[in-house]
Amino acid sequence: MVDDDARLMLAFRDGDRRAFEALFARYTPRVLTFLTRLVRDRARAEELTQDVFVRIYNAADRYEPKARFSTWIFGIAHNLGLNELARAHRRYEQSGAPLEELGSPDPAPGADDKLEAQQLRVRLERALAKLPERQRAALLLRSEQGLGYEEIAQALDTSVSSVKSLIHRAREALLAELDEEGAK
Amino acid sequence: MTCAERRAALLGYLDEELGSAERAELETHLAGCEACRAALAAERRLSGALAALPPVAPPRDFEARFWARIAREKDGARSARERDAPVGWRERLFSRRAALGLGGAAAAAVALVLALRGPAEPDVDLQIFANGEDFELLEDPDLDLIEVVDKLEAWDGDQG
Repeated sequence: MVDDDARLMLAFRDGDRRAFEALFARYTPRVLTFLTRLVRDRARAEELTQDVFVRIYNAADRYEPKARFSTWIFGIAHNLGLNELARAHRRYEQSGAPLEELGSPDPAPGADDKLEAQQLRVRLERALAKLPERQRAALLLRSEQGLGYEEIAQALDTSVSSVKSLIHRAREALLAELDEEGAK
Repeated sequence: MTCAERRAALLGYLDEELGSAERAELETHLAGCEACRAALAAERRLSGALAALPPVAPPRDFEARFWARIAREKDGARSARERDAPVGWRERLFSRRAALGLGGAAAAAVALVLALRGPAEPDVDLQIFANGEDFELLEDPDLDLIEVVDKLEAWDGDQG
């Protein structure tokens, strides 16, 4: 079955540039959100999101819809994100300098963002940042991006049972962390 | 089934992924177990908090930056192709004429003639270069470009 987004990609492969623009508009906020929370660096996440779309653009000639489009694009984003985290880790090890203090992805909350919700959000962001990378990726793809377990398994190149386990452990860790922070 | 096992199934319950028998069993248990009800409430709150995380909006110039990068990469790929390609007759011709100090209209006219004839007929080009007489002709700074065209057409005619 070819999903709507894959149909757009096929149209782009056949020369319809507007189809690519539609995909770009649809997926830019999603990929940027995912990568910002995965790598915890807004500027790098923007660069990586550009990289994701450059790859998509350059792969058009060879594109065949073997999976849902969302699976494909988040698979690329996940790989680039993990590579970036590995590079950041190497930089950290080589320099001995402290990792950058990573703030909230969006430092300007909306006016209706009530104090309590805002505090919960900050605590949650902090707890998310402490998760192992693959747990964080699996959880974000499920909870924020709404991907199914099968899709996440393909994007992360692992099994469905492994994805369920990653998400279960991530949620347990978040609940424990939030409990602990809430008790402070 | 223990409470710990049931708690592992709470996310599946919230995601409506449990079979009807498993769901009914869990609901019966939840009705009588306060600790598991509290765990379910915590899972619900977490799901709500995760869903409420604000999306990250791309900056206004994000798409423009993307297309600028694509344009740069295409230019780069073109330059690399030109660098890596074997030197063809056109490149040799231009460099020779440039070495002779011929520019402007004359060079442009040569470019036009050769662009019209070039890519489709590589054999012709190579053979012209292989022919010393024509090559010398192209080196002549007083060369009448119309004459070049005549020569090329005549050569084409000879090939029949």
